[in-house]
Amino acid sequence: MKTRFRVRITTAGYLYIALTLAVALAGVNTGNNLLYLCASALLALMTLSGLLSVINLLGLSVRIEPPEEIFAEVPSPFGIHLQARGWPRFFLRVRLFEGESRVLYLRDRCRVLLWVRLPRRGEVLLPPLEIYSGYPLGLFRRSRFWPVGIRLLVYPRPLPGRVPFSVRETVPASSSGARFRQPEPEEFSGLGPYREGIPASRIAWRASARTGALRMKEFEGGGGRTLILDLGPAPSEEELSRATHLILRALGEGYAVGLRLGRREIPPGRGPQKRRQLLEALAHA
Amino acid sequence: MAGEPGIFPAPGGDVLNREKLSWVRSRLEEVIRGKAREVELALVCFLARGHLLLEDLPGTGKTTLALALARVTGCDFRKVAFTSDLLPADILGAEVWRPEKGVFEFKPGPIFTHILLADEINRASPRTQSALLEAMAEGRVSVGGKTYSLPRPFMVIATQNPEDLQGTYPLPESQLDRFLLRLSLGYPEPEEEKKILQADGYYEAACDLPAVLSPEEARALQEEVRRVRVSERLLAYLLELATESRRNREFRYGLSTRGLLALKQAAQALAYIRGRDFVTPEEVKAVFVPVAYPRLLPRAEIPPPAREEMLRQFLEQVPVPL
Amino acid sequence: MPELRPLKVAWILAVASVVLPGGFLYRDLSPVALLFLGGVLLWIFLRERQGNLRPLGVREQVLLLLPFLLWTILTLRLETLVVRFADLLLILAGVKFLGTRTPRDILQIYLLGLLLLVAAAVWRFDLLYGAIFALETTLLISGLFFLFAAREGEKIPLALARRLALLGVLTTLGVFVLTGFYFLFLPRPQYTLFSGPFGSTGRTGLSDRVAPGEIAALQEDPSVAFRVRWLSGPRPARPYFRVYVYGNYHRGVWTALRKGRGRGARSLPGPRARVEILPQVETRALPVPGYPLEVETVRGPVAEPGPEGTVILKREVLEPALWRLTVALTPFLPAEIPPEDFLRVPRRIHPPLKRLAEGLRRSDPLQTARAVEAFLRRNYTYTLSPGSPSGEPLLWFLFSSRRGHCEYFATAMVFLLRTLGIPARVVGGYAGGQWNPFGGYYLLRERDAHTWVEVWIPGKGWMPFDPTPAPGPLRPSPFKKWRLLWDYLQFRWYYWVVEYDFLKQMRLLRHLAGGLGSRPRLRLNPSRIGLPILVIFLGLGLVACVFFLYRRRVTPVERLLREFSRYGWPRRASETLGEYLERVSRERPDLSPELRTFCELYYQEAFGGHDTRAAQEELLSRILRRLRSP
Repeated sequence: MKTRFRVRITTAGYLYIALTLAVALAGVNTGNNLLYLCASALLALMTLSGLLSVINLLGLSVRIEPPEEIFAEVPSPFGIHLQARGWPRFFLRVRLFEGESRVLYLRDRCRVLLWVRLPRRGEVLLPPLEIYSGYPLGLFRRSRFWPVGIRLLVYPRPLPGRVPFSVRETVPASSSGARFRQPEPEEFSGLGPYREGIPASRIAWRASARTGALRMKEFEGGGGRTLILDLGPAPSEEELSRATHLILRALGEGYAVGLRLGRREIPPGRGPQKRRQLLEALAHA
Repeated sequence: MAGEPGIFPAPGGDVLNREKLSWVRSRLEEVIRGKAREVELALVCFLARGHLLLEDLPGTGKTTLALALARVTGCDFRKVAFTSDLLPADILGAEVWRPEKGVFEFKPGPIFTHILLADEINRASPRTQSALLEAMAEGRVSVGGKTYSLPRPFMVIATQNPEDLQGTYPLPESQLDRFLLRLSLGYPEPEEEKKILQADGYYEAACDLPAVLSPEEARALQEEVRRVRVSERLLAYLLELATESRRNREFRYGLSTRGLLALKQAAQALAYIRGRDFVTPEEVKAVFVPVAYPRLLPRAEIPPPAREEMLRQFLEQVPVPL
Repeated sequence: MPELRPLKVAWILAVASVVLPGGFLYRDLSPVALLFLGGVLLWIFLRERQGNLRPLGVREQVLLLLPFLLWTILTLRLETLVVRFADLLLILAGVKFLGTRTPRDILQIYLLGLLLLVAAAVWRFDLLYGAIFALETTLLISGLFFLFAAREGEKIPLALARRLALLGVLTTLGVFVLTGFYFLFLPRPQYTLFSGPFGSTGRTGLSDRVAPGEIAALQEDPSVAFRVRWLSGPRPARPYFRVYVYGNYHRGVWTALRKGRGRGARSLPGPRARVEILPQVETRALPVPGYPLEVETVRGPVAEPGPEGTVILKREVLEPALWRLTVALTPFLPAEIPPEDFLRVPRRIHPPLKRLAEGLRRSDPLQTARAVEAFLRRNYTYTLSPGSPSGEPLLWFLFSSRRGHCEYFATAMVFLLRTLGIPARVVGGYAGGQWNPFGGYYLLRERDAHTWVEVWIPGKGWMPFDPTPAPGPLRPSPFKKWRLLWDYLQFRWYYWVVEYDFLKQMRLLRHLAGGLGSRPRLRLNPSRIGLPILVIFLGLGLVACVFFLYRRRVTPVERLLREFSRYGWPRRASETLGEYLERVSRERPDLSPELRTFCELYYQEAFGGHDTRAAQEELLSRILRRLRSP
């Protein structure tokens, strides 16, 4: 894997360099060898600190585990697996976009979670992953970059509110009422990972508390109510965002959801497969 | 593995208690033939102060096991057959009008015992089930604004028929981990079955078992189990198991902290039964499948034996610390 | 997991990095600053114990600092500029101790400690500075490590902290090595841009005016005056180092000849020697063991041949300096000023001396001089405390007290001879000195200061005589060897650090280049190769230490698993030891009982906290024996 290094000098580092120069100059001026000695020590520390910081970033390997669903402008958790060969590493910071996490001490391997907010929908090529550290003395900050080369599909940002496009709703004869009525207790099909846009009432709090990650109750079947979103051939970003929110909400409430994007049409349906199909269509629009 | 006696430091705790424990075990094995492992685990459950879920077909000796356990530990025993019309008050007890005193008085239900056999628990309505499960979790009963403590030791042995699901209310998943572990006795080996036939069944024999312990002694044993040492290294292994289970995609969700605690307590109890005063990975591995069974639910619909196999496979993926 | 606040460690190190150099330099710093710092620390300690320490705000800190600042400005003098500055640094650090303890504050305290170290370099040159330097470097580097850790996390695990501490120490050692390298090899200019009046050794040595009692006072002083390094040539057993030749006498005070230039006689008999002279005192002339032929100023004020075989400096030496001389070790020194100039006797003392002198006259000047020398040695007593003279000091010594120190003896001999018409003069310098075999140099202390006599022997030259009786045998000190070693280390410090310069650097480089270019000559000079060997051994020792720290002892169970996997029974990662050994037992049922026991023993240790290591070792050796011979 091709990698790059970069060094930034911190304020303390500038101060340190200035001091070294001052002491060296004083040594030259006065011919006082002890000042030479001090300057040499400062220089030696600078050298060793640089050496240690390079050693600290060598022999690392990185693997990125993107989340299942990513929405634009919504922080999503990226898992980063770090593995250090040989010697221990200290005080690493891992950064991807503005998502940042720190590793105090890495002996063998570890996994950190970065909350990354991707700005735009559509296909995104992830920028290089940066690992940086001010180790050992915080005078200089050395970065190392790992080209990730992962292409991700970012769904539009979910935006609640009135939808500016037409939505067809078909309600079976048995149940008539408001569009977002509390659904009947439908067939409980189990627990699944939490997905964006699901109302809080669907979250299985007990199970979530136990596992530490949000879980939600999933239902199959339902009353057979259907929503079909009809976006024009060239929907605006806002329309896409609103549509995303509506789809997530409606699927969470047990609706079957379909989509028309210009000439393309996705028949109504439920479940994770359909959800992915709808969101991908919106992302590519 | 038991070692050569004499060269090891003597295990802590009351030596007499350990001696009695081995009698308890051998007495139980007399009536539950050919099921040494299941007997051991039932005893683990009792010593770790947990509740036991027995999933079995009818006629595999569930009642015998419960009764025998109660007899040898000197505990009271009640059996309640759960039906769809059973009400919470039928188990917990209720306030009844005493005309002669002119007051409401609490009449304790069958739950006020040491060992309660809740037979076919999935036949009762969710309301009744949850009343029982709540009492199991809290060790006390609240009726009419007053709280009544349950006796100690207190252990519920609930049975479920996994095949006959017609008209049943399966226990909610969130409630399943009220049970420390889940066992299935299964059919005995042909050799043992022959002996059972010859002896005309062991239910009678179980009724006649002498009490080896008293409830107080049983409580003391439970206390000693809590003092069994769990080293840092072992805790690391337990945590590793939890982490791996949470990472594993085949389970709906991983082992909770409460589940981990259950695993630790069960391992401590087994170590105690095996005569150690510290836990090793052997014990953890031995109790893992029954403890994890009600807690690690597979994503796909899988029959019970395959679920056990899946758990065993999972266990084989996690490195054991030396 | 036990945790630790790195900020706290960093703060303690910060306090140490100010207090320890402050303590080392207490002699030079003002008591006000030291008392203030001590008071602050005591206050913090007491308040911390009571648990009600409130950090001062910036305004309060400035108010506290203000009087000290005023005091510093008011008492400012050019000579004490740097020391006052160091005082101010101490006070500033004390004020900062009372303030908040953010990483920024601690970094500032480290900066103060570093500045203190740099400031001390201006007036401290001795080996103590080396000690302060080593200590301060260690403290500051370790402190920076912890300070960085504090910026990264408020609390860190104890194991991490231990690693950081070790890393700090290792880095410090690395810095020392690299510092030496940079110091020796970084290019340096031949001349300084300007030489400030910084640094003075502060002590005056032998003066060009000798009054009675002055040398006696010097002779109580054990401090080092000069080091004279013998580069080549034979070494006299008890050398006399001439510094001044005294010409004028007035009421007991001799004044040295300063006028005139040596003619630099070249054709002198006797062996030649090359010496290096390193001064430790303020002086205007150099000690010369013989007659100077060539004078080379390596560093410091220019030295040139003075009158009568002395070497004088153009100005007083203040900074570290080094001169290289070639001398002729001859028993007779040539005359430059006509010897008849050394015949004057003050009128007051001429008549009383006449009778005594006549009684000592012999056939020729040499015999007469020997007779006078013997007379004085035999009949007069040497003492360092002769009491204060009444009247003319010389007459008082000769006729009433009959006790005195070298100056009286030398003066008496000179005037007795002059009365008889023989030219003679008093010479001041150092006699003897202590030979240091480690460094190959004479150590001249103030107490080696001495005056003796030179007599003109016609046709030969000036010949030295020492009329002073021996003061009695020197008490050999049991610590002599250690003291010599310590002085040798001091010397090395001066030679390689304080007085290291461009020329030495060139010499070292040329030496190394020569060593690389041609086959190195096999000259096993222990003092030459001793140091590199020491450095190499220290390095190796360090590497070994690190290795042993990181090496884990192979436990019995690891050995067992290794041996068994060689036999084709590797353990699966998910197998417990019990399961694994049971599997092995199925292959080798004969080992089964031992393996069971081993497993249980191991579990007792690993999970039960009982120490069964010895039993495991024993059982393992039994198992392995059985394994190999089924």
